[in-house]
Amino acid sequence: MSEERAQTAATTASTPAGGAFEPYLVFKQMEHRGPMESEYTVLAPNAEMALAMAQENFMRRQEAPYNLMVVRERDIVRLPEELRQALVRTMPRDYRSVPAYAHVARRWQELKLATGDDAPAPRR
Amino acid sequence: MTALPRVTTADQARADAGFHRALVELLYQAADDDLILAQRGAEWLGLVPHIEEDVAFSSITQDMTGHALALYQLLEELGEGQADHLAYFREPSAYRCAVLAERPNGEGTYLDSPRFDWAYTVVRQYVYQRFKRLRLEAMVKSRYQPLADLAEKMLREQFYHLYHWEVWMKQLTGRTEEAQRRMTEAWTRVLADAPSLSSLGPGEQEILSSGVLPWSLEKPFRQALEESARSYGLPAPNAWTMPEVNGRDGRHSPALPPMLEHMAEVYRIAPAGAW
Amino acid sequence: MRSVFDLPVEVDREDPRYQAFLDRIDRGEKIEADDWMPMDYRMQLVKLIAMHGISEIMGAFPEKEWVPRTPTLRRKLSLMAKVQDEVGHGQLLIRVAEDLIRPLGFTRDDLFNDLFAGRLKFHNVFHMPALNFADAALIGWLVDGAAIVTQRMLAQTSYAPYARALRRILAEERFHAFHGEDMAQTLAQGTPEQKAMLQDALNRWWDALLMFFGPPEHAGIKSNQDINIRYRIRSKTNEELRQEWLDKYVPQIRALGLQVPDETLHYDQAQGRWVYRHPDYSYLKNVIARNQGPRSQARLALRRAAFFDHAWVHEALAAQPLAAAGD
Ligand SMILES: [Fe+2]
Ligand SMILES: [Fe+2]
Repeated sequence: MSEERAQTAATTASTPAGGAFEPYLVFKQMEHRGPMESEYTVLAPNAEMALAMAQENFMRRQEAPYNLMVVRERDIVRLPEELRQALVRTMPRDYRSVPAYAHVARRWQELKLATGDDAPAPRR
Repeated sequence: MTALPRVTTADQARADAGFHRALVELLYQAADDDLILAQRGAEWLGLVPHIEEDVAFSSITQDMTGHALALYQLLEELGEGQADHLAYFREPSAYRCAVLAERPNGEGTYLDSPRFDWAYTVVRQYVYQRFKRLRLEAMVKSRYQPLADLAEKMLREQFYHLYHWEVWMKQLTGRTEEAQRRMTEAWTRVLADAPSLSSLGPGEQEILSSGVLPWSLEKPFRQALEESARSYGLPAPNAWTMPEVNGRDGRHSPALPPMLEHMAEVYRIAPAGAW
Repeated sequence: MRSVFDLPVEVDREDPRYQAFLDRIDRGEKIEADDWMPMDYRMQLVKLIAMHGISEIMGAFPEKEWVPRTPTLRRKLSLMAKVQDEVGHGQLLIRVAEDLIRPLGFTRDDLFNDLFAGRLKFHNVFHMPALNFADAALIGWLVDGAAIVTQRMLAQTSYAPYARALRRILAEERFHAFHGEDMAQTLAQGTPEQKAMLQDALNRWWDALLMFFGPPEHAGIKSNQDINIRYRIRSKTNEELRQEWLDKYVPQIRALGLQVPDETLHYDQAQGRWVYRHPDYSYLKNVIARNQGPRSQARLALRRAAFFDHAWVHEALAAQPLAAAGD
């Protein structure tokens, strides 16, 4: 895209009728299996352009991420504020947590897991 | 009722026979509703139309079971017996669940040829959670402080339950002709049982006059259902006639006794034993 | 019916990308979903991960049968949470498999149709009946124990999305292991009847548990182990995994005062391994793989009901709102 055209499009984006440029959220992944961290946002005409620009906008120093990702902001659906109460948890859910079963290891000890056995030392 | 003092401990509640009687009655209604409808929910495990929904629905079922347990524990403190014993080992006539909670999920059983009805499940869950919201809001104002405290906690968590089924109601109404037909049919069946939920049973007067509940639930519930009918394009709840058996007085549909029998099948091998 | 398993598996070993891929594998690098990969690697993954995922889903049934009958509310909560986790594992894994078959033009529905058509198998243990409540305890204890041994090995896999799913699964399996051991301990220390229930379950499940790991390497049954090891999809053999499982669980079984239904079972100190009577592995091929196990068809029927009876739900969800109805 020529600079001139980009200029025009950017101008259109500022008027409600145009809408060709849109904000994209940029995510970086620092290492192969690392989390995708949200960076800042870019205004771009499409995902391809957003990707091409994102790197040097936010990572122009030494850091070299493993990968980059962009998502059009309006494609992200967030839980609206009035529904965020749905995330609240008040009653205990310890029945599904590991610490609630500490007595199990204790009972194995009482049962003397390994003694008098021909087996190798038990592992946990 | 504002004149009546708060009851802050189980011992205080037990000292007032009328209050105690009304409180126990309401607690059984609420605990049994959650227990029995959660049992219907548990039957769905692994059979839900979509894998992701199977997981989400199960959390609601677990929460409801947890709510039932917490309510039975209040009953235990009030001298009614051990919580599990209350859940598993009463005569069917001692259960106070509304008849809506005990209706089967559809034809067949979860073990053999289940032909479960997802439309009925969505509508029943939605209507129940709509009602439960109102009951919890009233319980928060109960004169019995331990119940008010518990209701406050349950209410915050129950937000998700109602919201979840609201989304399903919205998604299955006004989409395809078949879905609309199934949802309307389910809505009609659920509405016929809806008065059983807001009924407080033969002890209604005492429950209200003692301040165990500050107000009757029937009117706000009917209003809520009228609004629901409007927003989902479903028939308005015109008649409000109590179903022939409503459950609150201990008389139940034929579905309940075998359900309880099944639920306690293992419990009976070693009652009050460790499992 | 169209099936992803009918696609030809052609690999051009002259393709420079192929050698580069092998080099990546040899360097211990992980492969991502959108990386180039040879077709046989992709298809081995689909077979393995789809079977794993569908087994989690089918594996919910035997325990689920006891959820409505679980005799205390607290245990009911933990068993329900455990079964829910298994469906959740199925969800995670099937999503990974879906992403592998999407570029080939296939979807989740195709995988379910493969299951119904008998082309996609599920693990042998989930073809077995759960006859009493102790079976639910035994599944959480020993079947999950076996799954943990296998999954811990698979977590080292060269395919990154599978490894990530397994990392979460293994974290949840820690709860499953404790939940299962807790139930087993409680029954073994309960009334004589409770203990007898557990022993009975062990007797009935023992062969299926050994078979879970598959035939040993030289039993003459063709397996995909070699190619999976070359591509570092897996790193241990069936027998190595079985030995690990015996290491951990035989001492527990004995500590609970239960009898393993194999009087020849012993640990050979000299060889550093368990010696035991092998089950008849041909059962896997002749019965299980044909969905002719005791509960194969019944459980497939449950899954079919969930799938076909609710076609209207999927249609409604996929449809646009009717003109008349507002939001
Ligand atoms: Fe699992
Ligand atoms: Fe598990």
